[in-house]
Amino acid sequence: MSNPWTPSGEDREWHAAATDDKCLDMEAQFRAQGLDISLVDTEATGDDILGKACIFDGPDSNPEASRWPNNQGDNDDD
Amino acid sequence: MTNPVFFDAIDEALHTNGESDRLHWMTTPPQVGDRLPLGSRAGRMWEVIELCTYAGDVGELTIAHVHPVGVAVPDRAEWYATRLKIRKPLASMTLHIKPDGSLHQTGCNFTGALPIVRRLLTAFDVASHKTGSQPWGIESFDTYSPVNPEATYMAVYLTHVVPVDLSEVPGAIGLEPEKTPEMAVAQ
Repeated sequence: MSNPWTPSGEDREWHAAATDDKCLDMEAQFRAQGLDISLVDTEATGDDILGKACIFDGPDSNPEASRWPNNQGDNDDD
Repeated sequence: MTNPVFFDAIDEALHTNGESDRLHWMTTPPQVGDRLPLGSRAGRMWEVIELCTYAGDVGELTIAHVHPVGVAVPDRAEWYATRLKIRKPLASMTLHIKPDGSLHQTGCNFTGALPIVRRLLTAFDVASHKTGSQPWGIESFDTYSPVNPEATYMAVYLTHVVPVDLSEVPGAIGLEPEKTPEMAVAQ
């Protein structure tokens, strides 16, 4: 007997933000960087601080992308 | 008959963690100027600034744009709702409702896509950036369309979500920790 439910199955790019408004800012920032990427959904996260998930899709979206690298640790540039 | 009323902060940044009592079921919708608390933050009241009515097959849904009493209301052009309508004309809001009528979570779509029935909601861990399945799935949904064409959203979808045992859904991977007792039971 098959189960009628399907898992969420995500392959889009997700980032966290404080508000929906910040998701729009994020989209504008990505596009200013030349990325072909669009904000397609927002969802509540349940997190106290970063309460929104900003969900992006498009040719340049990448679920593994780290758009804000942490520059406070080791510097691997050489 | 009661209809859903969602209280949407004009400036979401002013909305605090304890003020999560945002969906009310009311026999008559609120009026502009009404004041009410949205949760446990002592002493803070919100005022209804503007109302948007959406009509569906099962009744009406109201989105009440609210702002904290005593805080200057920004010009309409500066509201997130105004900015959103310009940037994302296909925006829809989704209210995921539990069987007891309480709000599970909210979401917005900007592409015109409908909620997907019999699909599990996505869980997202903000620290690890990992996604997975929530032990909640969409059983059905009701569609509400704007009465006034100037409304922010082209539609509001009220989904009926039910707990789902992830162990019985092939390929479903949950995220820890679970956030509600209902989720723990379903897990």
